[in-house]
This record gives sequence, structure tokens and C-alpha cells, in this order.
Amino acid sequence: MSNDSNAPDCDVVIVGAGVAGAILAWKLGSMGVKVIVLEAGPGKQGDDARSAYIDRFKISGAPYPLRPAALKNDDLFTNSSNYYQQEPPSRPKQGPIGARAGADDPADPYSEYNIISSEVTRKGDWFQTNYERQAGGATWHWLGNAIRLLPTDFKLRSTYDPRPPDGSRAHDWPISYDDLEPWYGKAEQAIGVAGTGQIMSAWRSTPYPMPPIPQSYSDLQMQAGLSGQNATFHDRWTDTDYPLDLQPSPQGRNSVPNFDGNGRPQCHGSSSCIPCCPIQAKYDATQHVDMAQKTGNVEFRGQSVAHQVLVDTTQQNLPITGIAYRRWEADAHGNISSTPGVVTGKIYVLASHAVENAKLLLNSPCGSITVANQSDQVGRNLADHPVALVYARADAPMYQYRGPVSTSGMEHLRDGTFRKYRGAGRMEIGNDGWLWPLGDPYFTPASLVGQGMWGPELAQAVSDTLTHQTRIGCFVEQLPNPDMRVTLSGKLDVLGIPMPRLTYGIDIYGRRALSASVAAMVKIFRTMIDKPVVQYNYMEFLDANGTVLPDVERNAGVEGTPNIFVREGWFGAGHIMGTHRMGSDPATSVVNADQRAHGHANLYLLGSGSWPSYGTANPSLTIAALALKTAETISKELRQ
Amino acid sequence: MNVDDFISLSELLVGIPSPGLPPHLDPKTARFYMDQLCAWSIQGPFMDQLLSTWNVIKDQPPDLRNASVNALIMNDPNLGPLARQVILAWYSGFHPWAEGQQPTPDPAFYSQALVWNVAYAHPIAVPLSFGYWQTPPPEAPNEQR
Repeated sequence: MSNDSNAPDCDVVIVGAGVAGAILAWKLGSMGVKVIVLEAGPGKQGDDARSAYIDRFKISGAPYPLRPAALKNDDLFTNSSNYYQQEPPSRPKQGPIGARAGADDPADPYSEYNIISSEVTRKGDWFQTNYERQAGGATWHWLGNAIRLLPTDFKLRSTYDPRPPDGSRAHDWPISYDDLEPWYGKAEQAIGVAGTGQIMSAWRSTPYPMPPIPQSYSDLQMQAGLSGQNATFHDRWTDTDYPLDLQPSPQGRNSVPNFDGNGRPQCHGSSSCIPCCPIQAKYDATQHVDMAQKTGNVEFRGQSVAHQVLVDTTQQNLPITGIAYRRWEADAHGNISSTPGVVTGKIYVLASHAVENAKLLLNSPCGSITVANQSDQVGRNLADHPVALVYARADAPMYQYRGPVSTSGMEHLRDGTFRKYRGAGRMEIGNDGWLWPLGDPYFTPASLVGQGMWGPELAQAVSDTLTHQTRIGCFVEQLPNPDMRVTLSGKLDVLGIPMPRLTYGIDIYGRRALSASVAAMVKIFRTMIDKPVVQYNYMEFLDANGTVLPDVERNAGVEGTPNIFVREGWFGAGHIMGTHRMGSDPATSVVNADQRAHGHANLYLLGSGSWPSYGTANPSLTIAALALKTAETISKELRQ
Repeated sequence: MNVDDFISLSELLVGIPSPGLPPHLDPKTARFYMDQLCAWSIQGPFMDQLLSTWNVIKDQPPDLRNASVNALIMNDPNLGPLARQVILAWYSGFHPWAEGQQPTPDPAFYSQALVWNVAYAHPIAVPLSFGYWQTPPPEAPNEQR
């Protein structure tokens, strides 16, 4: 871009073209800033790729192809040797169920709802969540929930100061909800959010850009069952009642065709938000890749894997001087070749998600330490929103498997004085039957045929089961734990880059949140169902069908036909957080309130890795809001 | 092997006629499933025997025919597993959750899985209309609605 050999290649180098990187590139490009974006996976892909992913899903269940040069956590399966994971920490370190820190720390009053302590579920104690390495990032398969964090989520320590017996402690953000609120409004406009009403205490200065996505028939049936009985959940930690009712979820999908002039259609209810929306009615970040390219100021370099942040250690402010990367190609036989490159700019932004950002920093020497790691917090505090699932057979048909995968949530348990003792939880009300816990609609016919059914008896039984299915998932809050972390493994990928090693588990605060959430979800279904019978199940993928195994010991003495099912074990939410946390103190945090790395004047780290505590909101909207806020900071800096 | 026999046996096994199910199964899909089961199923070599057994009993009165299906097919150690795979092929469209190994799949058959019919739902990625999900499916029988 310049004849001056000492001049940088551009103003701003961005690593990663997901929601954070693409929005930042668009915003800066539209202000005339010259940007180069390195993307590890393929660059912009069109509608052909969209339909190809869906076809792949239909025939294999795995929509996104394995790309050896851009591996991620869900390639082949969570514990694949392609992506290294350490043995999970043993349970005793986290303390037995009911462990108390002292006389004023009560034992878990929901221990009978515990779902993660049996020998079988121990096997699931891995980091189960995933992301995507291609332009658009994880928004290809995000659910579309565009939910704000709550004001107390930014002030968990100063509001509730939880002190569970494993030693985990909360951290406040260096910014407040009030600080971020204007940026939430801008992010909702950029993504295109359809919604209505204020969620809990998350006040709004601007209306939603679009009216809400209609709640599903199933949602309305559930709401009718709850409101008819004025259902509440009694929190045993604090002896407090919380209402149980549903609200339409704010969603990043169009309720109005082409609402922002980008040509995206209105949602047609394809029931395909995951693995990806076939018509792009659901926002994904390829929209901002397009918009960034149209500014004429942004160059995207696909299949370009950043592997080292270069730093000048001779200067006191440790300026970043370039990003080393490898540009890869795969031949017809899948053989990978690559060429090295370095890209330079005035400012550098890592926006490659919490795992890859940490991996890149830890692979970047800076004197006796690594880049941005004077606090030794890079890679630490790896968190997710662990999910508990309870599913049920309702008394009346719910007619799921129709429309967006989720259209409502139950928000009231996202905040309360119980957070002194246990994590909060947000309930996502599913429209996808028992797909998540069991793999339906395929599991039910396999199971019934296996029981010997055929003919009209089979058709009726499959129909009755599928039409009456309903499911809730509760996404719960963990506390930051420095022992849960991303480090570099000794294994190298095909490009010779160290693979990340993940160490993860559920802390006591999160485990208590799971137990209380199961109690609340069981309460909901007990309220809806005339003759409720609860059964605890776990599932092993022993064969192609999977096998549901009732927890015989736990179900002993249960009489009647089970119609409420608690899925033992937990699931990942796809919400990777905490590996370069934000804070005012360089000794205990990695980035400041602008997401600028402490100790490096020209390095920014974007994404939910910056979150010092995690709340219960799906992260994408907050990631976008923070990216827009940082875009303003960077543009001001460049103007100085 | 006669695909017509495969179709008539399949229609009986999946439950036609039943609410939600189509009146008949598609011959092209039937040929695909029959060929695929022969090719990849461990019980594939018994397809001839399955269809010839069916050919003998298919014209019996319904009660006797159903009893014969149970005795001669569903309880047979070779024909029973194959018959169950036939049922699951039709219900699942050879989705990976179907029993046994993977056949050579075609995404088109995903959409023909009978689970969508009896659930009064639709396969994914079929654009319909905004907001249809707020009301019960119009094709659901009145007693269900």
C-alpha cells in the first residue's frame, strides 16, 4: 500500500473475521481506515457454501468440514487427538457436593438435583463447546439470541461477593452497564435485533430495531400452563420466590424483510438456525465482511493463520511490530502446503475468539514472558455457560420442530441475592423437541422399533411422542477460575503451530447453579403436567443410535410412567469466555476497559475472552457492542 | 428382487394407513433404500428371503397376515433385523441415527423421512412463511389439536 519500505502495510491489522473482527473492520473501513484482516479459514463464502453446509448436515450431522490447517475444538469430536485436551481436574479438588467454606456458607440445598457427579457423567467433564474458523466465525451457527448482560453482571463482586469453598472469586468489570448501554443499542442496529420489552434490569435508551419474532405455539402452551397456576420457583438458598413465566427472546433475525437495506429476508422458520440459516434471515458476520469490503479500505486474507505476535522489546512501551502468519493451500488430495508472511500496521487487533487469541499470545515471546502476559492471566479463567437439560412429554401436543430453534426465554433466575451462593441461570425454551438431549426426531423411532413396534401402532406411538415433546435448557454462570485455562500443548498442527491444550471443569458456583436450575425446570414441568413422574437419564454414544440409560439407583421407588426427564451430565453452550480478562489493574488483568492490552500501546484483544465475569447472556451481542466501542477508541487514536 | 414387494412390505411395516403418513410410499425412494440396504446392511443378503417370505403372506387376511409377519419376519433372527432397518430407513431418511453403518446418503432423502410427517413438522431448511410456528400445524388431526 506504500512505496516507503518502512511504512506499515496498513493502519490496522485484525486477526479473525468473526463477529468482532468483521464489525470492527467494517466500522474502521467506513471511516477511511486501511485494514487488513487475517482469517485462518476460508474467506467470504456465498450461498453455495450455505446450502453445502446444510446438505452436509443432512447426510452426516457435521455441517462444517474438517480443515486440518484451521482445527477447532469440535473437529471430529471434542476429545479428538486433533485438538488436545488435558485430563479434567479431579472432583475432590472442587470439593464434595455440599462442601461448606464455613459456618455462614450453607450446604447446597439442591444437592438431590445434582447432575454431574455420577461416575458416568464424569466422562463428560471436558470442554464441550466449539467455535468456527472461517469468515463469519461462530455466527454461522449461533442460535441468534441477542441478549444484553444485566447491570449486576458487570458488578458481581461488589454486588454479591460470592465466596464458594473452592476459592473462586468474582471480578467486577471496569465498565458498567450504563457505560455499555449506548453501544448495545448500536450493536442491535448493526446486527438487526427483533425484540420487545425490557429484560430484567437491562434498561434501554433506544427501541429494538425490529418488532419481535413471534413466540412459538409451544411457548404459548407452556406460558398458559404456568400463568394459569401463578407458578413460582422458591429459591432455597435465600428463601425467596421468583416468578416463572416466558418472555419473547430478543433475536438477531429479521422480523422485517430487508430492514437495514442489506437484502436479508424475513425469517421463514426453516428450523435450521443451527447448523446455519439457509436464507440468511438470521444475522451472521459475513454481512459485515461484505460491508467492510464494500468500503474499499479493507483487505481480507483468507486461509491465513496468524501464529505469532511480533514485538519490539527494545522500546519501553513494547510496541507490536507485526503479525507472522502462514498462508495455506490444500491440494485435491488434502495435502497442505503453506508459505510464511508478515503483515504490519500501526495498530493490531486479535479477534480470533477466546481460545485462539490466548493460543496466539502464548506463542508470542516478549522478553522473559509472552505478549500481554505480565499478569500471568492470558489463557486463564476459561469459562462457558454450562447447560442443564430437562425435557418432558406434555399432556397436550406442543408441535415442535417448527420455526426458529428458540423463541422464548425465562429470565427471572438470571439475577437475585442467591448469586452470593450460586450462579444465575437463563432458561432457553426450545422449539426443537428432544433433539438436544437425545438426537430426536431420529431417536424415538429407533427406540420404539427396537422395542418391537411396527405398523400403525408404531406410527401412532412415534407421532404421539414427537408431537408432545418439549425441552428447556438452562445456561448457568460460572466464576472465573485461574486453573481452568488454555495453554500450549506439545503437539503441533500441520502448519507446525502449537495446538492449544484446554483444562476445564465446573466450579462449585456453577455446579450449584446447575442443581438449582434443574430444580426450577422440574418445577416448571411439574406445574404443566397433570401427573408428573420424574426420571433421571444419562446417555452414552455406544452405537449409532445412542443408548439412553436410566439412572437405576436414582430412579428407585419411582412409580408411574415417566414424563419429565432430567438429563444427567451437562453440555457446552458455545460461549467461550475469560481468557484475556478486562480490568483496571495490569497486575490482575490482560486488557483495560477499551480492550487494549496492558503494557502494549498498540494491541487490542476483542471478544468474550475479555469478560472478567460471565453473567448468563449469550455473548455475541455484547461482543459486538464492545467491538463498536473499541472501533471508536481506535479511530480516535489514529486521528491523534 | 421385486421393488413392488419392497414397497408393499414397507407400507405395512411403517404403518400405512395412519394419520400423518402418505397414502403410498415413493417408488424411486424405495428402490434407493432397497439397493442401499442390500449393499451395506449386514443382513442385506437376506433381502431376497425377506421379500419372498412377504410374497407368500401378503395376501392373507389382515389378522393372519399380521401374525405371520410377527412369526416369520419380525421374530426371525435374520429377517427381523433387516425389517427393522427397512422401517428406520423410511422413518429417518437414512439419517446417521439410523441403525447400523452409514449407507451412501443423499440429502434429498433427508426431506422424505416419515418422522416429519408424523410430527406434523418439516425437515430443516424448508422455508415456509413468517410466524407460521405460532399456531398448530393445519394438517394435524383435530383430536390432536
